[in-house]
Amino acid sequence: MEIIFKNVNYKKKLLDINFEVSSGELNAIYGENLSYIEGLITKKIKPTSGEIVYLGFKRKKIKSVVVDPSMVNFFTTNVKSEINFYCKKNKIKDKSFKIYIEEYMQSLGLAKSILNKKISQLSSSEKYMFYFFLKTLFNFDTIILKDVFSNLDRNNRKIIISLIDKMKQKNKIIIIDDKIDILYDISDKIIIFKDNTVLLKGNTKDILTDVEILINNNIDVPKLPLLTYLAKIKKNIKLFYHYDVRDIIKDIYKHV
Amino acid sequence: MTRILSVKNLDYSYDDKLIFDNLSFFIEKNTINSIIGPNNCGKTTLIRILCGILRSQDNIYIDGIPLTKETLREYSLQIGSVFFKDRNKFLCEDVMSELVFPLENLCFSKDEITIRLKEILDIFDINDIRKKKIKELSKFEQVKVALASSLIHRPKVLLLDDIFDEISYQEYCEIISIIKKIIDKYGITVLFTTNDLEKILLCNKVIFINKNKVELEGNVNQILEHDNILAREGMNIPLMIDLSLKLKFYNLVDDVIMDVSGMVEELWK
Repeated sequence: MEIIFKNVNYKKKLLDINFEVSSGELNAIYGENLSYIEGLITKKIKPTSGEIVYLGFKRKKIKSVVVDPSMVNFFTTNVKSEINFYCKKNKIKDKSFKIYIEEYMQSLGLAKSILNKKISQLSSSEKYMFYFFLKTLFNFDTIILKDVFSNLDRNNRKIIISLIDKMKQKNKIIIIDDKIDILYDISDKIIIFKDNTVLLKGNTKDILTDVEILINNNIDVPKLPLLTYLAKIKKNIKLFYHYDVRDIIKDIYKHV
Repeated sequence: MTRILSVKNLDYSYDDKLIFDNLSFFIEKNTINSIIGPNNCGKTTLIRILCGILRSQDNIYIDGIPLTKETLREYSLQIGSVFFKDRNKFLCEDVMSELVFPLENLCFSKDEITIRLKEILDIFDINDIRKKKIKELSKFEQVKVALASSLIHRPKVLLLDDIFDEISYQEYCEIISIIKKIIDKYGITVLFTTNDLEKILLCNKVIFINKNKVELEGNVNQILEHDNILAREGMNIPLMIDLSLKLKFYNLVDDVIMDVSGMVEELWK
């Protein structure tokens, strides 16, 4: 499945935008005016001109979900009634769905015991994981993950990364908007927006190791490639571009 | 150094779940301290207990005043607090009202309110946003306003939950610099919770809570020496801290270096 932006303009905020995001990959978006890109993808706003093409989707009405930790919000006071609310909203009446709910909760590290709790009794990380659970419980085509690891410890981050992998395998279109080091670490493709248009797009590792272009355009540089770059230009030390701390340490050790 | 906050043998459970088992620690006066721990270890619960929001036994003292039903009013005047993840962290619509509210609530005179307001606006350098609505502020500006509002009545202890987690390391350094000025001028002790180990680097003391108890406590270096324990127990080790600690192990650097350029200078000096 693909979402293709063709010469899209939106008021004066987005000019001549061309890019595509595909399923089976973790697509990153970074830079300016991302809220408009998100609005166009989720069809909350329409382009002023140009075209957004949806290829390979089974249904006409594309279902998009946005997971944003700053927007964690619940409609009822307890966990069970919140799940029931979402089931009603998504017209789920099948009682066997209950088994799926419990299995999916478990895969997110949420204990079955929270079903008997009030939402106010959940810890802040439980609230976020429960919110993530509700948002991703029902079938969707596209998901936008904003600041996805916000306040999560190592174990909960692993859970989310594992879920993202499963979504990739299920051919969902996944778009992530986050800090540059996180995008460097986990995303497959990246689109960088600047001055109301697409500045750079392509394979994340290729784009984010072209440090000179990033610096010249005032784009944040991920720390590992920045270290390699500065070692070269300041000290004439030639390190490889690495994606893991342990690899760069082995490389540094050869040059000290 | 004098102890200003002490917690002795705190036991706390709710819904049959044990949260704290014989938890004890103390905080020295005029210091900046943090509480860290994996998700669900009870960091926010601890701050709520220290604020008197959740009931506990009589084994918490601030400046010698115990936290009891009878002394609650006197105790609560010693503290300021911010729960940054709460939807109702701000009570008013605009910055000025938010700053003035605590003083009006405590029946300060108009003259005193004017003096303190000017002072806090200058200390936090937020004169340019004083007329703005809170929802128009950036995250960093919101942090400044939340802190200013909790400090305007000059409490002895400031209890903060998750306030630094959504700002950058540079912004955090700026806030700590402001807090240090307030410590010098009025004296205040700060205790904040965080999930981000970058935000402990300027603390005097760090307390690691895990499995219902204080598992580690000490200064920043003492805590980071146990990075293997922290990682094993679920703490996320930020990249520059992880890199610095590994390079320190090989004697390639002496300390944690947060700035990449500084790291390059130190490695190949």
